[in-house]
Amino acid sequence: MNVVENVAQVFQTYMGTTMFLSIFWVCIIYVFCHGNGNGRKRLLFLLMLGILFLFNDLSLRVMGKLTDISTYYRFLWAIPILPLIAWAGTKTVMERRKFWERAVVVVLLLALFRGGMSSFLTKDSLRMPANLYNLSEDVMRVCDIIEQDKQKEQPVVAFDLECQMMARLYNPSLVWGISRRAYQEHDNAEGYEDVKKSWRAQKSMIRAVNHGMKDDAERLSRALERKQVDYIVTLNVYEMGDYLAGMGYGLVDSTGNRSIYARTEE
Amino acid sequence: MQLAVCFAVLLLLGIEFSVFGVLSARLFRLKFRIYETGIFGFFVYFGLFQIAALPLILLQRPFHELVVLWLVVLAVVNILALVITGRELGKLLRAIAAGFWRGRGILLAAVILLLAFCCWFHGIQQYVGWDTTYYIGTVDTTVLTDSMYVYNGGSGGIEKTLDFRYALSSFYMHSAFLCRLTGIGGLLVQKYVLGTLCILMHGWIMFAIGRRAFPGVKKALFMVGLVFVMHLGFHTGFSTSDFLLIRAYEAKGFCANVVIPALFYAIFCLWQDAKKREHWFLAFLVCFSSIPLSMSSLVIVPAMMVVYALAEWLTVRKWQILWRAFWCVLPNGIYFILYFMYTAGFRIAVMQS
Repeated sequence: MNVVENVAQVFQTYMGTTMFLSIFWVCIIYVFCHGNGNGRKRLLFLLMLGILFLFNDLSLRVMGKLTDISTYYRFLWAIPILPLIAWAGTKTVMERRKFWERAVVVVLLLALFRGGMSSFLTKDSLRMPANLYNLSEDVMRVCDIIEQDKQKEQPVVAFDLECQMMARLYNPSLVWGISRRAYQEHDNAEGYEDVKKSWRAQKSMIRAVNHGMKDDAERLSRALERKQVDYIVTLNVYEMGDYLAGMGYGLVDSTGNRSIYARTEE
Repeated sequence: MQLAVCFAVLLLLGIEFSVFGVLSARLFRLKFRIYETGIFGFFVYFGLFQIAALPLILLQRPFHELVVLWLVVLAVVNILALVITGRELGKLLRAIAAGFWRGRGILLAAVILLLAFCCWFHGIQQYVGWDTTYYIGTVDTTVLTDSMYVYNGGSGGIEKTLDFRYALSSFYMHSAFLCRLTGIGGLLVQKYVLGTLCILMHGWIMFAIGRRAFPGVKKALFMVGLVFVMHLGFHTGFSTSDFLLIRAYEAKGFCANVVIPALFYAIFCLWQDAKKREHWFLAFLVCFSSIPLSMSSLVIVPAMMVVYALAEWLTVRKWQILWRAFWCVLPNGIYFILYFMYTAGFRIAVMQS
């Protein structure tokens, strides 16, 4: 949710293709019809105040200025959608006296949920991880190689993107040579035309380690020097050995997918 | 072996929440229902941890001082609990066992299986995002560097100033405490201990809501089951279910699935009886411990409380409701002022050693 324009859009993104919001409104009407005088009043005031204070475009903009507009969706957590549906569902099922009636209502309910669900249970999500850490074995091997080779406590490493995301989860002593923001905003192999000067050094590292570009040795060399990068991790398919040797980085070891280069000259 | 240690830590945390709950209920002369004691204890535990941790974080003291301090606090609380409430603890354990026995049957077994499945499902997820690297990096970096928020959790580089977006909440320092205590890495502690804890606490709070809404245990259990069935089918961008089944180890997961439902539960209790001290105590405590658990609670929790209090005041026209609600939102108000000052340029520079 990078671009948030209005509350309706936030609701749409939050609800996706599910039917939970519609069912929630049905449950609200159910509560209203079955509630007592004070209960109805309370419900009406809650709805009105909720819309007045939280769920309108003005509040969205104000919250956006106070905190961060991209986090506005969290206000939707305050609406007890699932508990209310579950309460109504339980009431509907448990008020049946006979067992077969209950069973039928449960089946109907589950069918209703199933029709409007967006399930977590997919073939991919049920795949067992290769290790306890749930991380790529290749990345773990890269971290082990650097750990065995490192000359200082917290070496600076320029990683390819996938490795960068996982490496510090396994070995926190490794320090990123390329920042998160640089990867988020400049992860492409294009040139430097639209890149601010302050980002060009990191961009040159991204182009080399994550895209295998070998056309900007001078800028890359300066960037590695400035960031005091001790190790470079890049994909084997890019065959960066000769290119990086020219900047004073020699191959330490390789894994199935990646090569690890270390600074050889001080 | 590491998984066994994680399971043991989870069990110990459960015991600690009960101990904190029983002792504080006794000290403040509060009478909670049995299933409420653990919820109350959970929030007391994290509230107290914040009181111990926040000054040390802001003073940039070494992490090991927090470890020692929290061990001392734990020792004192546990000894006090044994001396003062030894019998009550025993009663609580027996009551919980009796509750399970009363609710025995296919429904209980099905709900336990469903919860266990959700915990297992969360455990096998291989999602890694930038937030994952930052939060788990924060835990590991804290242990590695013996400092708190001095280094950037994501990159591992030293910070220039304390980042109040994260440093005002001690949640990840608690995880670091568990890592230091057990010698297990941050990834495993977050994923298997805190992630599972989030799912179990969510189930427990849903059960409490069910017990308040329905007279029988079976209906409450059925409600918990339905909630979790729906969670499994609510796979959209940023849904609470996403933060329960994929990212339960994040502070945001706790905000979405523990803090906010617990506040809803407290509000639900207040709807039933707004005069009862216990209900207001619970509401205050949830608000007080919301920031210690997650900075995402900064505005959401007080906003919920304000909307509730105004609606209730408009319904029953008692000024006392607004006055008590004011005290509930006060802690978050203070945190909000601090955070607002930070966004306006107030900074605490990191003292490099």
